This record gives sequence, structure tokens and C-alpha cells, in this order.
Amino acid sequence: MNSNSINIVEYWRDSKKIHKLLGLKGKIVSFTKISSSDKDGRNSSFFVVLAKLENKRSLMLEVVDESKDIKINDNVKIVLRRTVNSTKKKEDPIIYGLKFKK
Amino acid sequence: MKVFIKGGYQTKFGELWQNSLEDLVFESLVGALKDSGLSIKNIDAIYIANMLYSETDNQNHLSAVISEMLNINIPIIRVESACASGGVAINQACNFLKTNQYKNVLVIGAEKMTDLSGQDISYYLMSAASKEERKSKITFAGLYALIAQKYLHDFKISGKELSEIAIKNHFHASLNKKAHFPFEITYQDYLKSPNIASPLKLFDCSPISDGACALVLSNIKQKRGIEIASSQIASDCISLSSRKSICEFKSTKIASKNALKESGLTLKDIDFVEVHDCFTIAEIIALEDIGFYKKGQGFLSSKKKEGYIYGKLPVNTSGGLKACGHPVSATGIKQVFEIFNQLKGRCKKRQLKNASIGLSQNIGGTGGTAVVNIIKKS
Repeated sequence: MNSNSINIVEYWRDSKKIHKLLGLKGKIVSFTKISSSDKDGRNSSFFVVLAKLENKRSLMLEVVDESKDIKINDNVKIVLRRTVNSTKKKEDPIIYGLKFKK
Repeated sequence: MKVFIKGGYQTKFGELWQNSLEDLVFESLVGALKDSGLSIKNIDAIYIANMLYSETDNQNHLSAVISEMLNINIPIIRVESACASGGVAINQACNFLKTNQYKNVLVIGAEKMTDLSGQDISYYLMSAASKEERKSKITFAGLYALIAQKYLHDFKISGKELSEIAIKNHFHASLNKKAHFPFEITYQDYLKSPNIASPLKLFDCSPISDGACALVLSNIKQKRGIEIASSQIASDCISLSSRKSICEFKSTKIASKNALKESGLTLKDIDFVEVHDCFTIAEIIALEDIGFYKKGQGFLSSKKKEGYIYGKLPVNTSGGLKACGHPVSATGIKQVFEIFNQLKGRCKKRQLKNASIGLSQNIGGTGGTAVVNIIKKS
């Protein structure tokens, strides 16, 4: 099993809760730029942010548009985006989830 | 009822492709029995600490694997608490011995991590993190990078202070033949190393290692023995996002406070420590959480050379997780074995002078579990 494998029942269950968080705003508590490589040796990077939301809850999500400069205490908002990059079969679902956007 | 360490053994930590997990378990338990002067017939129970074998090899039920290996039928209990598995196994063995039902217990921690790709092992290690954290695609290095980023921001220190932890631990490992990386590094080496998860670079991160370590614990009184004066566990939320502060581990604070109380000792009595430096920032936070340094000043241990073998509070004389290596479930046991060897005077080039009491701190995940053991000359 790898990180691209999806448990479709769990995905269906979690998708019912997405609306509670979509659109919420928050402040960045911390962030990091992950430098990674896939099995074919291709390098990529992405940002993950831990933010405190306006509902007092904290959440950790990947960030959309990594080209923007990210700092602690910056404002972010929760948006809906495609979260799994590729699917191999035509019948696989297209997976969406939450991300932060500056 | 007191618990003593009768003997122990650590395998080499590193990329041990010629050894299976079973080979490492066998080597460590044979070595520990020989060191303690006992045979398997004298052992009343075995605690086996292991986190990943069920994932990497689809092998659960390690207790029965060991029963088959040794042709024995005594109680064998598998312990899993992520990277704290080894420390928790020692704690559980101590509690077992204090019931006075049995006399001698073998505690083994073993892990096989390098047979798979780094990507696969990173995926399995994330089973120590929360579902939310896995869904964010963060890695374990990334989780500690979040902690480091916040810490550097709040306390106005830089990557140079982090590098000094790695440099110290590599210096200690250069004196330890069993270490995964028995060589020194310089600040230039640190700077040239690749970025893993900002602000952490390669040399901020402990490696993926194979290895095993075993101890024989006993409640039979010994003159001039090495005693486990206290062993305490505490827990905390698995998710960083559920905590009030990400720059301290409540579990370490509670476990260390309770361990000192149980042993009747104070921080001033502790001569040296083995702490869980899975990443350089983790050593800084551990020293602060236990109380050796004020918040924001844990980096002074390495910066002022206080944490070196010749300093006022040596930290990670084994080389720590960073340089000795981190076969996850073996680590907590290796820490106690290092303290045992120091108190027995067996550490050769890295031997401390006049040490009588050592403290180990072993954590699981990002501090979801913490175990603190205090070991002293009886």
C-alpha cells in the first residue's frame, strides 16, 4: 500500500465533514517545505502548514500555490482542491480534499 | 522490590542487509545472556519491542516467532509504542518483575528498516502520526521541521545551533564502534547537506537503521549492581494540531517529573543523559522539558560544549539517534544499555569519569508517548 491508495469508504465518510471546514480562515503557526523524490528519482517540493483557525481549532494541510512566500502569522483560508495527483484507471474516483491558500 | 540490569548486548546499527530481523533478535539475546552469565533456562519472560515488522514483512505475532526460534514456552509479549517501543518494553518488564512472580526477564528491541526503499519506510513510519497528518502528505521529518521552524522563530536561534547538536553527537559516535555513523562531521558538511524539510537538513535527521539491543533485567538482589531506580511513561495527543504548544512535549515533562519523584532524586543528581534526538530539535526540546535548561536555552548544551563527554552534563555519549542510528524499537533499550555500560566503566574512549546516575528519555512519534528511565549504581 502507498500514499496514493485510497480507501473509498473512508473517503466517502470524510467527504461529509468537508463543508464544516471549507472557507474557514486562520493564521499560520508553523510551516515547512518538504523536499521529496518519487520512486523514479524525480524531485519535487511542497509546503505543509499548521494553522490556527478562526474556530479555535488547529489544522495541518498542504498549501496551494507554493510560489508565494510563506511566513509564521500569515493569513490562510481553507479551499477545496484535487489531492491525489494521478489515477491509473479510468474508473478510479478523482479525489478532492482540503488545502490552505494564502 | 528493586530491578537490576544484569547484562546486555547491542548489535552494530547500520545497513545490515546480511541480517534478517530474526538474526538481529538472536544475536542480541545471545549476547545479553552471555553478558549476564545466564542461560535461556534462567529467563522467566521476554518482552520484544518492534514497530514495523507487521507492516514491512506482514509478520505479527512476534512472540510465537521467538518461541519457535528458541524452542521455549515462557510468556513472550510484543510491545509497540512507535519509537518508544523499547523504553516502554523496559518499563513493562520492570513492572512485571516488581510483582515478584518471576526473577529474570529479557527485554529485546529490534528493527529491520533498510531492506525497503526510503520512500516505503517513510510511509510506514508515518503510522506513528495521526490520520490528519498523513492526509496532509507531511513526512516525519516534516513534523519535526514544523516544530523546529516555530522554535527558531520564537526563540530567535538559527540552523547553526541545530548543527551543533549533530556535530556533538557525531563526535561521540566516532568513539563508538557500534554506531551507524562512527565519524565526525563539520559545520561545512552540515551546510552542504541537502534540505529535507525546511529548516531541517540531512544532518538534522537520524538515519534509517537496522539493529537490535537486549537487556537482562532481574529482581534478585545484587551487591554493587546497576539498578533501574525508576521508569515512568506518559502520553500526549498524537496530532501536533491538538496541542497547546508544539515546542514542548507534555509527555516528557510528566514522565521525567514522575521518574524523579519515584527515584527520590533531583535533576542535580543526574550525571549524564541519553535523550531522543530523532531530529536535532528534539534534543533541544528534551533537555528543556526534563528541566536541565530553561525554555529557549536547550541549544546551550551543545553550543557551550556542556553536552560533550568532558562537559558538565554529557548528552548522548552513544552518539544519540543521529549518529549511533535509530532502529526504532531498539533505541530505547540501547539508551539504557549505554547508561549501563557507562556505569560499569566499559565505554573505553567515550568513558565518563565518576558518573553514578544516568537518565534516558525515549519518545514515540512527536511525543505521543514518552518513557523516562533513571539508572544508578546500587
